[in-house]
Amino acid sequence: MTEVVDGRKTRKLVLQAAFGALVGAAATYLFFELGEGAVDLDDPVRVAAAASGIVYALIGLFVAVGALVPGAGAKFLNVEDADELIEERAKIGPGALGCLLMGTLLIVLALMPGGLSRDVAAGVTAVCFAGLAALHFWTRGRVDEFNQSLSKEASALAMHMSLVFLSSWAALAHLGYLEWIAPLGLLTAFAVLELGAIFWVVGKRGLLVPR
Amino acid sequence: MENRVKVHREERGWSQGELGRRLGVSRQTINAVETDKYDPSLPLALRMAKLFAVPVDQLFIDGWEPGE
Repeated sequence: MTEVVDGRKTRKLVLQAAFGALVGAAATYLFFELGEGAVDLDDPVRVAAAASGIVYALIGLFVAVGALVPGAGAKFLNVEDADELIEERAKIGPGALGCLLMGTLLIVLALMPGGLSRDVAAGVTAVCFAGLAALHFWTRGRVDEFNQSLSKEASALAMHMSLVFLSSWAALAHLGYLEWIAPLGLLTAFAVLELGAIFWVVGKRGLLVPR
Repeated sequence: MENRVKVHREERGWSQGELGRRLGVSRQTINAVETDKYDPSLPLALRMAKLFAVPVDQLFIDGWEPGE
């Protein structure tokens, strides 16, 4: 049985997407403007890492606010109503935290070496990785079969995309056509491919359809 | 795979959240099944059929026929 999407719901989703894009653009502009000198703007790898980190952090922030204040969250997240956010709090809370940790990790590493000391960055990195690992184990078995299926499908897709993209890059680098990707670039590539895979799978399973 | 989950749910006056609670799954899962975006596992399909008191093949319609 297929669902017919009405115009009001589509308008709501378009407005939500436009709002998200606007906040994202403003946050990115502010980050690079206020952090002038902290991030080497001539280094595309650092800029890409910082921009990806901001996207992750904003997604985490929006979802966290939605989980904490469901009444407001229902207005900017694609859910049926505030009750759905309350019901799903145990699942979306860790998801939001995971995005915040990944965003923090990428931003902190992008700030190195100009904007932050190496020891501080190493400490934050360790906390972020430990937090991500803990969340992975904590959420196992706590989500239902549909969400487990989404997670497996997105992980498999991200893995395949990483293999194709990074293997091609490695082959070309080996043959001398390209420089091998910088360590931060590798981390950013994994993060971006993972996020892309999640959105692709979530879209395919109808979760981006206005509700 | 086409299914009649929404029809049976609405006949009983249940919301997606209510059906999800009865089956122990999220509202998203019910929505994904009803809109043909997700085929439930066999245990969940059996639980749905039991809850609606209908045979599984009346809840989930598969057009496949065995060949000669």
